[in-house]
Amino acid sequence: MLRVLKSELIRLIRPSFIAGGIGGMAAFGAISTVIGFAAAGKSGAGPGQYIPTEAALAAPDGYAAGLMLAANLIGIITLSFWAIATASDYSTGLIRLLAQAEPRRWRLIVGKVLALTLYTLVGTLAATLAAYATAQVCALVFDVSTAAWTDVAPTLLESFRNLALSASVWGVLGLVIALLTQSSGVAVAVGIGYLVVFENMIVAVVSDASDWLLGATLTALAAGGTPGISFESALQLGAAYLVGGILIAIVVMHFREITY
Amino acid sequence: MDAIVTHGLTKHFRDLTAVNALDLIVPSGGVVGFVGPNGSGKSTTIRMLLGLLTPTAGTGEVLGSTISHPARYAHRVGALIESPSFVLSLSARSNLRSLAALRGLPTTRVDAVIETVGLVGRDRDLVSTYSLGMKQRLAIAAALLPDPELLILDEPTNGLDPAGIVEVRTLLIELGNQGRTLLVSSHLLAEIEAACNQVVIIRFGEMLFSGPLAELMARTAAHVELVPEHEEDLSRLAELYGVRGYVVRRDKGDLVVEAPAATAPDLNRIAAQEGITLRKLAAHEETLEETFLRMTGSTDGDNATTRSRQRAERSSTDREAADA
Repeated sequence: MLRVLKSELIRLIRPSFIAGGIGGMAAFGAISTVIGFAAAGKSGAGPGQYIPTEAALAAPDGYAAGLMLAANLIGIITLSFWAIATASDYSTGLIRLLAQAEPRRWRLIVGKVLALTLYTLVGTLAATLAAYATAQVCALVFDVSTAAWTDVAPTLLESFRNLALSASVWGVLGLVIALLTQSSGVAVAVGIGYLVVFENMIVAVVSDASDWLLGATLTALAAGGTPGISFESALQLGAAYLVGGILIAIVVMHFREITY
Repeated sequence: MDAIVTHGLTKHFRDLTAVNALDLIVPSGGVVGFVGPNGSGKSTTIRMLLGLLTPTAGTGEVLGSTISHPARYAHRVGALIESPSFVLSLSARSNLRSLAALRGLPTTRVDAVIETVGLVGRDRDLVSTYSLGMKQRLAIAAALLPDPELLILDEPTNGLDPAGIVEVRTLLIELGNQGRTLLVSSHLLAEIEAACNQVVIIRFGEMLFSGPLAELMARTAAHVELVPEHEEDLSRLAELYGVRGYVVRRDKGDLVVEAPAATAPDLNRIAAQEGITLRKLAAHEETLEETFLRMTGSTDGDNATTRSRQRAERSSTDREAADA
């Protein structure tokens, strides 16, 4: 398994993935913080959109408020990144070499998940730190009190944990769809289409579905809990989606005929 | 022990039979050519041997282990399957390091294979900057990473220029001389003839021939064409050869004796003893390419219509046999 992890990491550490993935997440962390501070207290947010109040920004965890805005965007980046990393094995034909060198295909999946999770952790950490650094500047620019921003480390760590957990589940979703469709483009479209459009349609018909559906769970995970789903429930549901997704990927990979 | 053995190996893709009850034996050591028209089932067979495809029926062994458990022999086998497959935005060295890591091999193996295929000095360049020939060499390097006992190369000279083809041919012969077994699939029959000592020919997923190249060449059709100085001697000459057991036929003004080239001096001597001077004495032996085309037909297996027609013809023949 460690062999697969090492092999995957060698392929992941390249300029395009570092700039596009980790850099993209950090950029969204910073931009959303700027937007959060600029729009604080203003009305007019669309359905499902979160705009922090000025009081929320001045609270002990106020510097992390922007991350809430960025959570779904970072999730989409993660989904896309995992989908590209998975589908490109098929589009390049690399899967032939990988499956020949390691015929125990479950190891290929688990190793890839581990490598991509590490990558996601680095990306979400970069986003968290970028949000924190940007918040310091924004507090000065938008005249927000930072008096309550004293015990930074635990709050920052909690924000990072929530964001990383949420992004990892987004990523597994991207991996599974890319594995099923063998196309990163389709995976991104299906993933975003479901979470942004289809899940809302389901919730409109089955009201209590928002207590357990994937999108609602991911939002609750990133926010550290919502009125509909507590953080503990979100954690359990997220773990179930994560394990379920990995199991589906292993089964698909095990029975796949490699004709590419 | 044979390197590869299959019994009744079969692969169906829905209604298409890609490989049909293939009994294959590839002896250990040496370079074995694996030839057949496009779509004859070579790649499908190779993929089943490597565990990438599951056979519909039949069994097989690679280096003494069953193909249903490829993990048992994967570390002893290197392969190039169809076109080279690499991450273009990584260097050749990083691509090889990634594959070496997957197999748990030290980086010294990466250095060794880079040197073997002659990519020293270009190994840190991005693969996207490589020519097709260089990518092909990189793919061979990847196949050599585990220092394999069995090397399976599917079209290793694809895209190479003449110099590259000679280079790969020399490399294959060297690798074969090191005691490894090489199964080399190729369309370039001249390459097979130059590099291989054994050959397996398949068509429509069925084996047509398996054995030493010399044995195949011994089966090649050969004839000697003769023309006497005086046309009126043609009949007498045919009679002289016929009496001595030669199979003779006339082709326009030529007399064609179905016999290997080595008999030409004897044919000349017989004519001279009877006072007949020959104006033309030409020996003709089939090339491997001609033998291949005679055995496989000139049809392309990729052509579904051809394949369907072939199947229909076979079914019709079977029905006629059953009716009889």
